[in-house]
Amino acid sequence: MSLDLPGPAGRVRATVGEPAGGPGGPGDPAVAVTALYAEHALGLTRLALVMVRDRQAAEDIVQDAFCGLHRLWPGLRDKNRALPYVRSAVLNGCRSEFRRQRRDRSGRDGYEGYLPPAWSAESEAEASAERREVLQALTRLPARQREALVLRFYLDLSEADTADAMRISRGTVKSAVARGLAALRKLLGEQS
Amino acid sequence: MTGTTGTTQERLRDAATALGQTIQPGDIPPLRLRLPEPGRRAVPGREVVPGPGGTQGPGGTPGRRRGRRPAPGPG
Repeated sequence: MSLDLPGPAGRVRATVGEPAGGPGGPGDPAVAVTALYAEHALGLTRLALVMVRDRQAAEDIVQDAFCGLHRLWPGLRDKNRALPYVRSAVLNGCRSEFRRQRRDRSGRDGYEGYLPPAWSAESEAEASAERREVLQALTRLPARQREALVLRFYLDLSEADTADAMRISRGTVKSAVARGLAALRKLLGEQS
Repeated sequence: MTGTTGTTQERLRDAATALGQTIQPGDIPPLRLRLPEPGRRAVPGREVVPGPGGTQGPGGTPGRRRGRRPAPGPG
C-alpha cells in the first residue's frame, strides 16, 4: 500500500505492507505516523546529522525511530507523546551509531577521535574551518553534554523539552549544558 | 551568562545550522514502514526472533521455553 501525504518536499510517499486498523483512515497508524514523519523528518534528520555526522546513518536512524513509533502507536494512549518518543528514539539511535563509528575506527587504527566526513566533497570546500572546528570539538564531548547542547542551542528546545527528549531531569540538563559549554569553550580555545 | 558563553553558543548554532542545511526537504526519503511478517514479532534492531525451542541464554546455552510446564510423568 502507498500513501501520498504532504511533506517537506511537497509530497511524501509512504509505503507499507498492510496497515493495521482501518486502511487509509484517520485511525490508521501508518497514516498518523507518516503525517508526523512528513512534518518532522527534516528537522530530526538534520539533528541526527549534527550528532553523527553521517548522512546515510542519520536517515536510517530517523527511519528506525518512526518504524518504532509505528509499532508502538496502537498502544500509545497520549498521541501528544509521539514526538517526544521519536525524538528520544533518534537520540538513542545517534548514541549507538556514534559508538559504532568509534569502535570501528579504533579497531582499525587505534584512533579514538574518529570523525566521519560531515559535508560532502563538494560542500566540504564551502564549509569554513571554524565550523569544522566547532563540530569536531562537539564530538569530543561526553554524549550527555553533546546532546544537551545540540537540543538546547541548535533545536532551541526548552530545558523541559530537552529533559524529556533525553529522559533526564531538568537539573541534569542544566548542569550538562553548563559543563558542555565550558568544555567546548576550552576545546575551542576561547577565554572564559 | 558571559559574552564568551554567548559566543560559544552562537558558534555552535552557526556550525550545526550550516551542517543541517546540507539536507534539504527534497532529500528526505519516503518513510518505509516495515511490518512484521506473519507469525513474527517485530523487535527493534533485531531481525532474528527465537525459534520454537525458546531463546538462548547467556553464553549460548539454550533457554527454557516459556509458558509451558513439563508434562506430568506417568503414574
